[in-house]
Amino acid sequence: MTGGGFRLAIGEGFDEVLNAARAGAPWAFERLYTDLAPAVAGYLRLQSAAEPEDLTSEAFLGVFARLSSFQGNEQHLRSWVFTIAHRRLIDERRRAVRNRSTLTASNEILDRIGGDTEQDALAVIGSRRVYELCAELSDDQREVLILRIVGDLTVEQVSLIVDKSVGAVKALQRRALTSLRRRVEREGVPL
Amino acid sequence: MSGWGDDVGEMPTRRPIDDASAEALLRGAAVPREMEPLAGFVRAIRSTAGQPVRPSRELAERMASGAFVGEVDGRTTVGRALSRLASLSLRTKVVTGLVATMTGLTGITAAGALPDAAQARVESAIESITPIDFPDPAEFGQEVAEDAQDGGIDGHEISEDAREQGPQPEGPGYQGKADEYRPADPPGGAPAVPPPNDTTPGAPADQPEPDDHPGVDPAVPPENLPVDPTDPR
Repeated sequence: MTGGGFRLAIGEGFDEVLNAARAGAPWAFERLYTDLAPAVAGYLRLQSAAEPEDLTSEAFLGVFARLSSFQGNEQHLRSWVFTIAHRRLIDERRRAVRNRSTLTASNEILDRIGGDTEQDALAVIGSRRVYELCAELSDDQREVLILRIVGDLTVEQVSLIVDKSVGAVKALQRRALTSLRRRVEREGVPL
Repeated sequence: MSGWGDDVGEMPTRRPIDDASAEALLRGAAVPREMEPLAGFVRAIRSTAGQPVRPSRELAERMASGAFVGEVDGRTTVGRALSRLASLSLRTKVVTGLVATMTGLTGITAAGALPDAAQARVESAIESITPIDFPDPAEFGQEVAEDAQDGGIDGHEISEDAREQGPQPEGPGYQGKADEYRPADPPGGAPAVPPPNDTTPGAPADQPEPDDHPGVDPAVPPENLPVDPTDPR
């Protein structure tokens, strides 16, 4: 994965994949899911979803069920998928008001990353620290930052998802980065 | 962007994060050396989203069979009806339950399906709280005999009954054809169903999204449909 993020993973073949999925082709569903689900799950984990993998599946059930009415390109689809994931997350939070401390729920996923090697152990420690530092941001800052980084969405797309102005999103991401910078420089993060 | 270090009194060690540097950090573009630790942290955030995710059993089965085509949502009609019921107020639930019970009970009673004693008690109860009158079984033979004596039931009687008891297509909740339910528009001309508000690019803005707008479910009929407690359905 490059610094450019996940965007346009399918590229020129997107229309073909989309049309096949609309027609019910299993390979097309699998392609879309494989490309988008890791980012959606990552977003939900960093947002402290109680069951991020289940919620990811729930979001994709909604996406695939309404794919026939979708119109747009690959980046639009990505934005739409994250819109639905965001709403599923809000629904989940409404269903069960959970304390921020449920971040530890992510430990189960982190445990799966680990293996026998020292490198895996370091990766787990680093990932855990990433979750912890993100959890220290305000809800709004974390929401915007994760959608920008993990969702690989533009400021405009994020502003539509979180229902804030473009200026507000820019201010939130500046503050989030400034806050993270302070912590990273002060504490250091094993990455 | 102006160069840093030009102004006297400027903080020598740290450049604040402006929109341009924030954009560079978030997009993974090259950043000044002093921001490299933060850029590394942003890369670490991004890398947490690289793990494959197993779909749930339901999603995997649907993906394998292509069973999404023609569906509005992944949830079943029963599931949506239950979630719809759960969203109603207590008062509405009580009224809904009463109506459901009464329509069912009235149907059974009208069919005379209850034991004689129970039939009489239930008929009496229904007559006391509704405008429905059940015929007295003792008078049944007498009615038939009178009809036979005066020439039977003629067409005039039937047409009068039809006018009095037939369906009223102009009633609340009806617009247009009598066999076509449409929710009545509220006063002022505003549409009864609010337009979808999903303005995300690429989103099917002309399609209702029941699951993304809690409380709105096109699979469940609008609440203002007429409910006839005497309807045995």
